[in-house]
Amino acid sequence: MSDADQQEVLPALTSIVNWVGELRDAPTEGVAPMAHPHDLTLRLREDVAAAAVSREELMKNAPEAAVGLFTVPRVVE
Amino acid sequence: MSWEIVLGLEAHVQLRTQSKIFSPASTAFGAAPNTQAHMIDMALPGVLPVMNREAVACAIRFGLAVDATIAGSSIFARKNYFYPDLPKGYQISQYEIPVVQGGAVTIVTDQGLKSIALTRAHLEEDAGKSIHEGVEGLPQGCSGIDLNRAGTPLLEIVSEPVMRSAKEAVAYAKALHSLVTWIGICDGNLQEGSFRIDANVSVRPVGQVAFGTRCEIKNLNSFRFLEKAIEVEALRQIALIEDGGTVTQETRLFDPDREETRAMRSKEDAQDYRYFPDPDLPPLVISQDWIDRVRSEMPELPNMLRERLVKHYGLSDYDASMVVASRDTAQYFSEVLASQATDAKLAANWVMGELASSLNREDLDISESKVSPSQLAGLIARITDGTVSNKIGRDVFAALWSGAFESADAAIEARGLKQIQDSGLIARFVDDVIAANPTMVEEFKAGKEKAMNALVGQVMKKSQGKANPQQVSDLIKERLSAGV
Amino acid sequence: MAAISPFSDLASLAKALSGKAISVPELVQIFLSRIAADTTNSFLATNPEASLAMAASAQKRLDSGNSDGRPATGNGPQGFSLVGLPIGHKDIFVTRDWPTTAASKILKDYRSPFDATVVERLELAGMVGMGKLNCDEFAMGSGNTHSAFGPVRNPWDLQAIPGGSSGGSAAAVAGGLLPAATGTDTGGSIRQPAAMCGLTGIKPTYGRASRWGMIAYASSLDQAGPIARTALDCAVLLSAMVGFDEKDSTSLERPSEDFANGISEPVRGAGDPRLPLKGLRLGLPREFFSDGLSTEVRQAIEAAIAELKSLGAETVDVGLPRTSLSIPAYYVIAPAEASSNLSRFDGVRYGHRTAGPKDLEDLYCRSRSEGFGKEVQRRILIGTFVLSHGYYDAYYIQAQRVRRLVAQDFDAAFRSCDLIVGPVAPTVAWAIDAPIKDPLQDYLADIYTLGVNLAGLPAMSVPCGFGNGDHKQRPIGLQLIGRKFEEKQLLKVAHHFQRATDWHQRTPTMGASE
Repeated sequence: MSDADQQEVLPALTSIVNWVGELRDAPTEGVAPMAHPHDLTLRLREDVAAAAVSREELMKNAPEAAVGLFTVPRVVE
Repeated sequence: MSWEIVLGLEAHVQLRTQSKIFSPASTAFGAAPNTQAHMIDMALPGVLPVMNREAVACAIRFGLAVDATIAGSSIFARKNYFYPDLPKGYQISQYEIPVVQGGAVTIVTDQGLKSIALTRAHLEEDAGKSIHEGVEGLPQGCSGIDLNRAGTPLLEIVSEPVMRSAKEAVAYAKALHSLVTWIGICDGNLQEGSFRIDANVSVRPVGQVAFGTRCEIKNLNSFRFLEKAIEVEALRQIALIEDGGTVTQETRLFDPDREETRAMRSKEDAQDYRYFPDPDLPPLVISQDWIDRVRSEMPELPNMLRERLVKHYGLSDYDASMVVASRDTAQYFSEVLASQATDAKLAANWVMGELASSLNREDLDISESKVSPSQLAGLIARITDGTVSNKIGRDVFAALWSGAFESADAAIEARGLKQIQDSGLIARFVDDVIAANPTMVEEFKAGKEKAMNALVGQVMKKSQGKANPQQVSDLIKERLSAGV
Repeated sequence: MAAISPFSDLASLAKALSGKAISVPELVQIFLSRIAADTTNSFLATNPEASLAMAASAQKRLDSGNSDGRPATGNGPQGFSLVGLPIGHKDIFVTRDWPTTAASKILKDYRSPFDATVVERLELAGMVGMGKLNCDEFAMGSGNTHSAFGPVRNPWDLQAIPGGSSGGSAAAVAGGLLPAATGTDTGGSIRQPAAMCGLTGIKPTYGRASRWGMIAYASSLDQAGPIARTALDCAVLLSAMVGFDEKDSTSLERPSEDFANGISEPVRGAGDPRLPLKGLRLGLPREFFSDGLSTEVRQAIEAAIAELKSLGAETVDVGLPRTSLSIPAYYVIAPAEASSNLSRFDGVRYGHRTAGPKDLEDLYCRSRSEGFGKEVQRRILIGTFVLSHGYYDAYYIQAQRVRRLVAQDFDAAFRSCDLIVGPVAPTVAWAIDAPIKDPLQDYLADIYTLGVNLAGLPAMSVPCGFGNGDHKQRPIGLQLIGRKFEEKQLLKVAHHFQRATDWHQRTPTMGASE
């Protein structure tokens, strides 16, 4: 984010974060966190490989690509 | 100052499934770039993950093989960070509650057996690959991203930091490698990246209880590199501290050409991954029923077989562990013992010796051996009963390997390789050799052991190798001490 | 046969098609022309060629008598065939026939190689896709003022917001550009725009509709649903939209349901047909009727409740004590999940990529700051913050605990009532050009809708009146909240309400005065 944008966003963020902080005073002892409305369990899929996918179709939105690869500025490790 | 190395290893094991962990794309190695990346692996807008049952089954098998606790309910979490080979901007992994907890792997060291404790093992997805050079058509100044590997199921296995030498670490890595191939969850192909090790290395003065600062050396895909990398990294840290510096916690890569480690440029170390349970994946529940079913379908584990070999067949820990290093080898070995009563120690020597080198020479798997277990058992029996010596035995082996004969007996018969049993004949050879080599006799009487070998050698030559060397040497000693 | 108009409901249009009063291509063309003349900025993409091709196949299907096996007339209250009926999709659903942008510059011109399951199901049912509808960027907003492609205007009052985030969906239907549209609801984004546009909308129980192909905002809260002119229309659409999808691990494995079946019957079996709601206990949460609620909305809601009572229902006071806490809980959980869901928009494999990035970091930073609007950036930052080390327990986990308390509040309330009723929003639609205020104000306006998403319950908005004075042209909606899986009951109650009232039949051209 640019500095100018950061300046703009900061006060709003601060007030939101402060307000959200009210959550911390809520009495929640002994209450388990709820990640999902239902008690689902993970469904498992049979291990079957699907037919090869069309690379052209899946890469058609690539901003930049070459020789079948997505390209990005050189990554140095 | 005396230093101690403290080591913990993390292994990333690619699971042998047909399809990826969260998508139905194939996991086959070597396909053209991005032809095995499903829209799920590419993180297109709107896609969702669906878990592969077989990947979970692999995790259960591993948990059973290392006597670990298999979590009845475990959670998938998102590990958030940005990198071009990580399409979603997060990796689906497990954090607070992994599928496998605890467990241990046994290794054989110079001091005997040692149990290396595991912290945990969890399921996660592999990232894609970044290619930086060497691809024709890749523009200058660019890296290319291939997502074929993205989404391949991984089992990350974390050991406790209980290893104290590079050798121990390599023994552990090898034992783990053979275990995961033994139970069929990994193809064990190091070159293809099916089994990768990260080593956490730190040093501390001997006697200090607190751990030193550790560095993580990533992506070691050979045991040789693992050993070297640990050695050079430990030396680097020791030198740094002895020079008055401190070790910074960082991630490093091993450069095998320069034989040194260097820090990675990524800012991974300052990373806060902001782990939280993945809302697209409810908890993974594994029933006791499923665990029991998997257990009933598992083969005898290497540990158990090793113990049996030691207890009932009297093999040393070392020999036994060599036999159980691979399931195919253990299978072959068992068949040798089963086809007829066989000296287990001899069998181990032959399997790990002559058979192994023949296989290596022709780049064959033991399952492609040109000498069958029963053929080898037959040969060993003839050595045990004295029909041929060990040395002649090798000729017989070669004859069997070439396919010229169906059995050891056939080869021995056809080539007249039987050891000479006739002691009268041997005695005559001995007398002839003693008579013909007065210098050697003098040297032997003067106390030179080598002379004995030379004399025995002469007799062996005269007998075309068919005399029993032990018998010959006893006879020579007898003759010479009798002062003939 | 009654004359049809661009403001006819689906049931009437189905009757007209089956009675051959009009052909599918003719019908589609009428809407396409109206869409082309739209002044509300409801649409982001159309593809007349594709729509007319779908119309032609639909017509063939009708001609060969091969509808989907449902009765082809809208005569009885037992549903109708969807073959040949036009539908528009919120631009959060990926489609192959139109670009998908999520109303964001970061996805400008993106063309998905697959269709969302919801889109596919409606297409299989024979509906004709008409285009993609404007919304708040990535579904984050309550007024459709946060779209990268301009705000949507409320056809009732072009100076007012249509509500959000499914503002385009609601405005298009309210303005007679479409008879129905799909929307998504994470914190009220179907119910609130439906209310502000005088339409009927329903968000089903979490997990009913597949999220495959629905660009994720907050994965544990998002749900798809229809916005249409009547409860019956919604019931038929919902039946076609929902159902188990193996491609979505949070999709529920339940047998398919026909929500329109028996919709005209009384709630408690046979009885006085003038009292179809006899035996029904309506819970009125005291927290929904306290200070924040504007007078004009209160009046409309109270009148609607009186109407429901006259149909036989009883009311009972209930409490939802954690109502106000549901707001910060939502605004921790949703941005947290969103911040992670939006990480994939990095300019690498699709979407906007900044020009001439000097390195990887530059690529990420500039592509994302150029591509994402301010509200989205704000929420990503909040989300990143509440998940970060040291804050995770105090914010994110704490919010999930409050979430369970909110769900428990509903469970407790439903022990003494069958349905909860109240307002959808504290006020009528506000002006698009209202002075820029603290984003917090917008967040607080979601007070009556957020808890429903946290608890995963089904809920509806049903038109029940208009504002007063200057707000005469600003519709008001009644919210109905049901227990999990009780969509049928909600739709039934709404249907009976709509038989006894005519709010749902008002249109902007007629005006709201009454």
